[in-house]
Amino acid sequence: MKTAQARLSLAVAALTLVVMVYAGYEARGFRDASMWFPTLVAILGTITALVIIVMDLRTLRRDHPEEDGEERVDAGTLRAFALWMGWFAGLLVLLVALGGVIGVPIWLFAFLRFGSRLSLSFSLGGAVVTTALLLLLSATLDFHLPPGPFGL
Amino acid sequence: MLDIALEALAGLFTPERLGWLLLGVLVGLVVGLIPGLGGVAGMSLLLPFVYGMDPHSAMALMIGIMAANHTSDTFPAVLVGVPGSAGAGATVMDGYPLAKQGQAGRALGASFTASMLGGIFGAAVLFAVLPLFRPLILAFGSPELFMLTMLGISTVAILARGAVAKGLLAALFGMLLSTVGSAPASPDYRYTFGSPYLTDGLPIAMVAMAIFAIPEFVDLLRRNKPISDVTARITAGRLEGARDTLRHPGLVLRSSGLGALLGAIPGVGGSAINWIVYGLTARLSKDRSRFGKGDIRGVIAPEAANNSMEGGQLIPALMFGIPGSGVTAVLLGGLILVGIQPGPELVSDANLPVVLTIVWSLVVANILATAICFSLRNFVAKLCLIPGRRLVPFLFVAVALAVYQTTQTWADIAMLLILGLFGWFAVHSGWSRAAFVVGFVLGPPAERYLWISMARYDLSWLVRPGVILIAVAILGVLLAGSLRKERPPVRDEVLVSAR
Repeated sequence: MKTAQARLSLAVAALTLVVMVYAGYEARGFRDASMWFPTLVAILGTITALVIIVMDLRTLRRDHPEEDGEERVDAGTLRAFALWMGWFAGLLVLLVALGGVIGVPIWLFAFLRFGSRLSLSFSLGGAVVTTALLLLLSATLDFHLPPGPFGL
Repeated sequence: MLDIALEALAGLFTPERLGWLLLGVLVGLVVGLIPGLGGVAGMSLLLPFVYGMDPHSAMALMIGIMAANHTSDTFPAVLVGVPGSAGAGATVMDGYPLAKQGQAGRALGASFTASMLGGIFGAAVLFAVLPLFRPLILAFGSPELFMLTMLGISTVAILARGAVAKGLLAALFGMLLSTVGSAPASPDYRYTFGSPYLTDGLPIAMVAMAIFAIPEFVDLLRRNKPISDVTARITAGRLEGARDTLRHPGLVLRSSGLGALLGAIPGVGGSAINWIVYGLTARLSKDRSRFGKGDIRGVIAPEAANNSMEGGQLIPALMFGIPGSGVTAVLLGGLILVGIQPGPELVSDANLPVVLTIVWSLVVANILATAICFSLRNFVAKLCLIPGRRLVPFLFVAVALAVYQTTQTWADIAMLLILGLFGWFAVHSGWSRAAFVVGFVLGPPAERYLWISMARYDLSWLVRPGVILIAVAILGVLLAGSLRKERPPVRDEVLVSAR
């Protein structure tokens, strides 16, 4: 068992424990027929999460971070993860604010040019061709683009 | 019946009907390639054109879409780790790691061959059981269906590859998320936090894409390398892949048989079937150390089941008018549009030629789809050689807009990102994403069938012969799996494999 992985696993298990406890508590408000399944899952989940937390804590106590040499999920990795997830969230913001027909080409151009650092012609061409394809799909198939406030 | 079957085959080989079949295959391949569209969209698109056609041509067209859709959805699953349909999630497990190792061509070759053989097997099953299947289908009540879901959930331990507790927790978390929305047994809305979006629950296609695609996208962007770690001869191995499939006749037969059988049971669902078959294949294998890291058997089994399932799903649809999936529901609509009423009388002499046209269309469409996919393979497999930052922006737009199709609200895309966040942390902390998806897929049927069983039979359902038989099968599978030696996992592969 690797320590970096155990550390992350511990965090995920702790979060899952909170979710399971909350789910079990919330399930008390459901009618009988709807209550037992989520309650059962929440109880089993709580127990399993506790088992994993204990196992991960034991691993962390036993192993030294310096001993394993595996790929660490360090601050740099997390920063990169946050950066790219931020770009993804940017598309969502643009779709809500401007709709698909305007939001997609703007986001795609910005991502290719500034996120991926590709040439201006590739970024522009990629955005235009993709938008044209999406419009074609939307016109011919049961494929919907987010309309946005302008209803496009 | 053989005479009528040969007549139906000859009838299909007219330019007009073959043309309709080819059109259906092409539409099916396109909708399979685009994540989020799926066979229902393709069938719905062509349904208006069916009106007024002769029944044989109409069936050729619709079966073409149905059969081809599950052949081409392998492309995105293997090449970019994005399931083209919810059912292709199981193919991602080993197909994508193979692509990363430079064996995309081999994975695709194996997959297409398995798809074709599975599809032909499904058609053969449909042909063979048409007069016999009624009592078997009727023997499956809710207790047996509940036990089948348990059989699927029992595969979680193997999908977790040694981390059984984490696999179990991932599956339980998936099951808990599957309870979001309206309850099946009473008028309750569970864990919706007052949001109308959550009242219908979370769509499986969105969950599968979030869990499998988003973490891969982020890591591809971070590393900015092509998907394949091996850049030479990426498209080679087509024949090797086909040979891989032919070298495993038992696996193809078992997976196709299971796919057809489970497909014939309404309500089990395509994505659940693929996971059940994948999990059983891993569990019953002597050496399962490579599953989830690029084992060709992990591609062959779900793909064979995926296509044979179509033949199985047609059995209750044609004989009882019970659609086992969205695609068969639209197909039934098509049958009614051309003046044929699904039901037991469909196997009467008057209607038998149309049914046999369906069977032959299934066979020919699978062969055509495989031939087309084989010829496209070299071109499409080169996706693996494109650097991450050049490829991912386009893929993310495709995935985001694909999940938007499910309920057409921006909340679909927001949920994609939230679950993608969970998926990324799951990968990097050694949790099994497959176990999570299995729990999510099998949670609703498990709850529904158990509730019906308890309400109808109290505890007496536990002693039904079918229940005992499936329970013995579960125990046998668990025992067989635990008695086999597990090779220690290769350390570095934990972070890069498609767990």
